[in-house]
Amino acid sequence: MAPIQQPWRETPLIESANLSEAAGCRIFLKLENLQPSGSFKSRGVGNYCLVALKHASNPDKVHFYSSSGGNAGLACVHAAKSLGCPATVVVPLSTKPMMVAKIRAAGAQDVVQHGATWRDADAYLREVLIVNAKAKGEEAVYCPPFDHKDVWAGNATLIDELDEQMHGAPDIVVCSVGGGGLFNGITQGIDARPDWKHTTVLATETKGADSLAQALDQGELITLPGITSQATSLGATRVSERTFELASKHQVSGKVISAVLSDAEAAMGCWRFADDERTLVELACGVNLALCYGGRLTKALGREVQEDERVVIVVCGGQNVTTSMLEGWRQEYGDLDHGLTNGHAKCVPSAVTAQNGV
Amino acid sequence: MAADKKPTVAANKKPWCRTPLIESANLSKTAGCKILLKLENLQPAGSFKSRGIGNYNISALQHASHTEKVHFYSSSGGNAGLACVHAANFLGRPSTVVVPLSTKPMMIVKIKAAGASEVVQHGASWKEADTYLRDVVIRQAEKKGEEGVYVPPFDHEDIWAGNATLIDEVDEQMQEMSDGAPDVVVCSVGGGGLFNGVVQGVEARKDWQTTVLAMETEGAHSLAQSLAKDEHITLPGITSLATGLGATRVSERCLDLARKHRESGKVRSVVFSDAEAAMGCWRFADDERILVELACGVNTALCYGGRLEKALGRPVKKDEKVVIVVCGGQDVTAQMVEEWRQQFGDLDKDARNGHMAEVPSAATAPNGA
Repeated sequence: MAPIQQPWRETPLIESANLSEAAGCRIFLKLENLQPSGSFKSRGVGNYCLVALKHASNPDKVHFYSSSGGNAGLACVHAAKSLGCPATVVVPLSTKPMMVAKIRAAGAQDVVQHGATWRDADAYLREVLIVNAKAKGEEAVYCPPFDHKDVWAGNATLIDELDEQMHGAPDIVVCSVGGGGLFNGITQGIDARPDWKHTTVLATETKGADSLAQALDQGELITLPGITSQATSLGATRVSERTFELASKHQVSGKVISAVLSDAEAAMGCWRFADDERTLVELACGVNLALCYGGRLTKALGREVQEDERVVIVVCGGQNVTTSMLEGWRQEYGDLDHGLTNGHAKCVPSAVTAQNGV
Repeated sequence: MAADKKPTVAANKKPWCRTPLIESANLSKTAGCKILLKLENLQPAGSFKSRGIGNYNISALQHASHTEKVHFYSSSGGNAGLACVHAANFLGRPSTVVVPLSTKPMMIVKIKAAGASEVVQHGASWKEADTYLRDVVIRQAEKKGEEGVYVPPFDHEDIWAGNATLIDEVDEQMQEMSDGAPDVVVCSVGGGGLFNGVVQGVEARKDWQTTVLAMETEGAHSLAQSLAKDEHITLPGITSLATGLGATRVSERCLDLARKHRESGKVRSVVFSDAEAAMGCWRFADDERILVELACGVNTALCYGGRLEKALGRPVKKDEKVVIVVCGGQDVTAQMVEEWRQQFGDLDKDARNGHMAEVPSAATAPNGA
């Protein structure tokens, strides 16, 4: 069997001069975009695959399967490759050609397009493909995108690294919430550290994919009727039970704060980040970076941001982005804070490159 | 635990940081070998210059008569100026940058955002700005009792020594990956500051059989021209868009090293067009989601369309390890990259070999692939 490599890598933590200037506090970026699969999912999904392989009856016959045409699928394929196993991804017919190309480039044994929706593709994967695979003697392993403790444990390694990279606890950790896999890992990591008891988790979502915020509002775990946000990577209509449990528990003390921003704000976060840090991220990640501009962090926290406050943004990454898309967002959404005089730092590059000028 | 009001991230004692060396799945696929990216774009000033210029500033401060009077000065409106300002801030000293009137507003904003005490615009060309800096600004500063330190952009051994730390890290990182020495190291040549540091680092390692590819763009190819004419020439001007490589004359050291290693093939001088550099930028943006300047895109361009084989003058081996110094640079925006894509497009549309259809940038070329 081929040698096993850990499916994720340690990522840099850098202090961003530009974003700190714009936000009015100390912004640190945990660069998960540098994971092998382009997002933090290399940790969680990677750990899931690693553990599954360890417990396999027949390691030589293990074949990983995913129904994600997005970053979870990519993470599964990359992880399978580092573990020396094949991976197959089943995606709906509507999946962008670019994403299909990326999944193939990552080394998938096969990418099967089936069904109109994710649900159809997923059902086909479980009920047909995996059943057939097992009948052929494969040890077929279905990789869940977020709802498993091995995924959360993998994501929690991010906090282990943060602990080593920062001297002392951060004041705030910002992360996006899709299904809650990242949030669960982060909260788990923070809860395990007594000297991090004052660290707040700012859990962000986009409007139209705000399954957590709505659940917290209603006091119960709900399923959205559909996803209307363009940030499709956050497109889980229902967060994991664990996410709802942790968020409700910690919301009372203020240890977890839920924030919902618009697609326009997420898009703004993306194009500004590209000009201020020269890194491209998806909308699902831009929603976090948007907090650094236009006084949004103060608004989300419900209190003034302090100059020496240390805010770590998990730059979750994601591969569903190109410069064309970014330019489209810049043209369409422009400078959302054009009319503001406060909270908008004129001294960062993205202030000069806004479409309608500053 | 003592109340530490401003604890810093992992006690970084230098104005530069240890950058990741990552294997690129996509670029390895198109290049047909193992492509490793040394991500200097993550340096505090956005380019590898944080090393060399950072080291220069540290050394200058150490040798200063009165450290509390030291004021750093640069005439670079580009990455050297940015590196100077960042390093000065790190060392707790002020910095001033004098640049020609033609400097892009975006770069002025970046220099100010980096924390320059002042940005002065003077003169039509770099030479005029530089002369004004030396003859007027620094003289006036010294009259006021400052210890003015002029920071050169590339031609000093302290800069080369700082840049050489990159190879120390690559050595460690490749050993951690149980990979052994790189077969090839790719770096751009402007004035040769990076090249000098890289070659210094490679030479110091007797067991490294590494080839260094010294990349330039047509219109800024001061090294290639000097080698071709076998004399140290000064270009009449810079006609390449890759202004980050815009030194009309390389350092003597750079030419010496290139000549010394030319016969053995240890150093190979390669010149690409602006179109190729631009292609390297937009493809890199789609295949790795990182934006770099043209001066850096000239390196990543090697990974596409069989250019690496052509540059090496021999076939590329599948298990060969090629380290690309992703030098970075701040003279780039998503808009510029998008314009390069539209303007230059897919240069290898008709090529049959070396062009892998299965990487993201193959799907995003404007005229299709």
